[in-house]
Amino acid sequence: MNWSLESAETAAAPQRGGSEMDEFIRRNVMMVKLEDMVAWGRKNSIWPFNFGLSCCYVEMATAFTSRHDLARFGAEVIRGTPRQADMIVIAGTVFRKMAPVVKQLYDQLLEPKWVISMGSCANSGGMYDIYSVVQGVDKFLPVDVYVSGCPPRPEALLQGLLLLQESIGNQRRPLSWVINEQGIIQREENEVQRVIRGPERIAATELRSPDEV
Amino acid sequence: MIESAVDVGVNNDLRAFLIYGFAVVAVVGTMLGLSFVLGQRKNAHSKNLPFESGIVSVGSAQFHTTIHFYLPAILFIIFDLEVVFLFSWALVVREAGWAGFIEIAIFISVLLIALLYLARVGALDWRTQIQKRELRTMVGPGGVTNRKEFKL
Amino acid sequence: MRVPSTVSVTENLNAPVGLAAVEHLRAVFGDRILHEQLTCDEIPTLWFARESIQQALTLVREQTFAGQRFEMLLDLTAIDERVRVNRAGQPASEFTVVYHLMSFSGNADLRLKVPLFDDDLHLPTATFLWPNANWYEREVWDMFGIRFDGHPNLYRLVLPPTWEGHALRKEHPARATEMEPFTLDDAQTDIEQEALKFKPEEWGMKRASEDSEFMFLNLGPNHPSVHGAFRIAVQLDGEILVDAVPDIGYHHRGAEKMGERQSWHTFIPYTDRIDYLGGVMNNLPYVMAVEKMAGIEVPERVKVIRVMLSEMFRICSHLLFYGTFAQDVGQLSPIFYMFVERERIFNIIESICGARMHPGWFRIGGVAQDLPQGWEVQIRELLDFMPARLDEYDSMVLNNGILKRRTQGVGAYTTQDAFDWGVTGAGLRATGYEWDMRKQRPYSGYENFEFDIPIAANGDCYDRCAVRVEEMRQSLRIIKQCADNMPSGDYKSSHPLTTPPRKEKSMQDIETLINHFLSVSWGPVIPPNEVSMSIEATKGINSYYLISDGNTASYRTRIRTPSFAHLQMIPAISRGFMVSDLIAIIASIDFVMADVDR
Repeated sequence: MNWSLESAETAAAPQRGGSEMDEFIRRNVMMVKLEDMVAWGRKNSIWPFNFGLSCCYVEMATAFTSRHDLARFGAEVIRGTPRQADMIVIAGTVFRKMAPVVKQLYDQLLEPKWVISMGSCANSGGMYDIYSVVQGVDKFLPVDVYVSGCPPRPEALLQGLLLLQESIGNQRRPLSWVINEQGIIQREENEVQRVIRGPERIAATELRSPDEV
Repeated sequence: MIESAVDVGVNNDLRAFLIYGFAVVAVVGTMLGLSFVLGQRKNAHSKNLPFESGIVSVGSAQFHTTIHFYLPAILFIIFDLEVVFLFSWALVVREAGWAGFIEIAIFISVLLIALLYLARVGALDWRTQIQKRELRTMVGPGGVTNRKEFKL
Repeated sequence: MRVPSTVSVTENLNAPVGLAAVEHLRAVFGDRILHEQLTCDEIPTLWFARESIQQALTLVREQTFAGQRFEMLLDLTAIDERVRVNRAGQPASEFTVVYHLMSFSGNADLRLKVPLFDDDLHLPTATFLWPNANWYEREVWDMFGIRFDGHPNLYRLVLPPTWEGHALRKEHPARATEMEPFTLDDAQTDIEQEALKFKPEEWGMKRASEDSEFMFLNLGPNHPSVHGAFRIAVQLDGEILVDAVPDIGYHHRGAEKMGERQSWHTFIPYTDRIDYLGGVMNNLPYVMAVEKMAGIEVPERVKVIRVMLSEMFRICSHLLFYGTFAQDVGQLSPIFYMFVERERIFNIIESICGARMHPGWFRIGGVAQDLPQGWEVQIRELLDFMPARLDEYDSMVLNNGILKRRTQGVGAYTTQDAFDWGVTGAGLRATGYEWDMRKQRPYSGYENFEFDIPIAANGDCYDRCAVRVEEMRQSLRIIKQCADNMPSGDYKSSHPLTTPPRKEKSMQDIETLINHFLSVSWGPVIPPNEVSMSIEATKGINSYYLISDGNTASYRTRIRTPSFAHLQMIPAISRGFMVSDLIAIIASIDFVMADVDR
């Protein structure tokens, strides 16, 4: 006997006038376009590269552990070699001595690849306006998502990953180097979070006092 | 003119074989050809360099390795060939009977004695000189020596 | 052979060995001592000319004063004195090289200084006396351009090999925005990578022995086992390590130069990030040093709060060490358990300080705010579940047979080796020498707490781990005593140089408000002096040597970090072991790259 559980509110109502066959197909068969399928697969299985520079790496490692658990979002498999990784998280300050190393590692990452810049130091040099620090990793790498904080909370990194996943969901893989242009075809522009969340943040008037736990 | 049965059979087999061969070539060719054409090509500056933690490497990967890898390799070959003989005996266990069992037991025991000799003489000890020395000069079981009980 | 040391140490702060050494030096050198300087930390500071410094150092190194000696070269640094105004009485000098020696048996410090001039910047090396002077001298060459005659390989250490100029000189630009904008195209990458490439001949390594060729491998800046941007170039004979050369500088954030540009108050967040696992404990030596120069006495409550938070960060840092140590040796699960504990402790720290990893919560003269109501409940919860978890980890990690076989007997060194190489902290205690700054020179009220110092006998990787685990238990004991006996009182002192002054007073009096405004925007003006303050940080002895010129910013901030000395020692203790042992050794040293390169 085949049976399944569905709550009354969430199950979409069957079409009127449909037969049992239509109902069966609706529940068990999914039709999508190939490119959407590919984008869905790509975004939910981003493999990060085991790369950390500084204090932000500790918070990135914390995001991998049990409490925050990056594995829920498919980014579980952290790879030691760039050839098997999809994403590099520039976690920490980019030093001038380290910059050519980062560039080489980024070159050695295989396509498709994405860059998350984590922390103030990677975003813009942070509070280190000093001779030995590059003022932002976007001076020599293309960055997809900037996660701000010093260091950003693990939850912030998770949000950054989710934004990246959304953005990848909108990207299309070019069909062939023979006919199309190279690179990632972005269908929709990425939105700036500051613009989206600004009104909500400004509207907050009740702030918790630090005198109580 | 009626062809002989053999000729017809051979012709049919040949034709089937040729069709099969052609199908294999077609399938493989499509797979290779499509993967050559589809997807993208990108070339970055350091992409083809070997990965060595982000720095360029020193020396090549082809060099004369040290001789002490040779010993486990040759021991493996010897004991591996022993297994080959065991395989051939295993096929005829029943036919060889008790005489065969005793012979193979003698064979195995000779090799076992050789293995014990190697273990005793230290040929299977992969540790370095310094590792052996450090282990011998250890004081106590290790860990904290002045642990006092306290009530938290 | 390793014999457990039973040297007993005096707890007397005015130890006779320092005075005896000064007397002896006066007797031998007489007029050749250029000056005896008084500093506010009461460390005897003697000035020697370049011609006599070698002899003075040898004398101090080899002489025993009533059974006590100066065992360790704690720090070797330099000062660019060209723009300094308040140095009355000191000999004329454009660059001063400072040797900071430490006696463990006598519990005393000694500072020797050498004046040099820009057109004649060289000095004989001290690497023959103390092996750990090697990297310190390379750093002084890198930062100031002072050559050390007789140094085996005087290359740049913390700056890239293609760098031009010497960073800590006063004419070198501090800001990145004062220099050329940074670009990195392919040609530049090639040049830099070629400069970073390891050349074995420079380090005296042969390419091949009689029997086989050696393989040179980069355990590079990006490797899961090196815990940060650290590179070690190893010379391998098959699997056996013949030699290794550590290469640092991939994490150089110029904290010392930043100290000269920031005011005394705004430098505090930069100290947080020196040892990024230590959090607030990094603020402590800096803030205490400034308070010493300013003459501020903090209230009792401040001392106990500082101790409590420092010990919580010590537990956090040791938990991360514990987890990564087990992970490097092969146990991949314990680190996940330990991070759960870290999260709980971070919760408490966040509720008190406002941030998880880099609170920057200590201030000159106190702490930023008072403890929130309800802080005690969380601490009691922590004390309830933590000991059982530590026992569980013992059975999971420390009693594990494979871990024992991989770490016992590996990377062992004696107490004398530790003194030669400048090893402090748990690495020294694991060799059997019972010495902890919190007991020998109690600071911030540690003399009122009851806790033990764990030691071990062998000084190998296993012992270092075991010592740190026991230190965690002792930290829990200290936290319990803090929670039981928290004194009431102010969370900041009322001294005028307290930055910023208490908020309640700022809101009431105009004078305090003016003081607040000036000290926060311009900076507190600390009277001219020199001070050196050391604490037992999570990794070893962390010492801040501050020079004030009567300004709102420090004239010279020297940060002596423990991990810098520990990394130098890696080749010496890992020759002849295998690559997997090298990983275990690196994991057991417990260093943080920001602590090494600052």
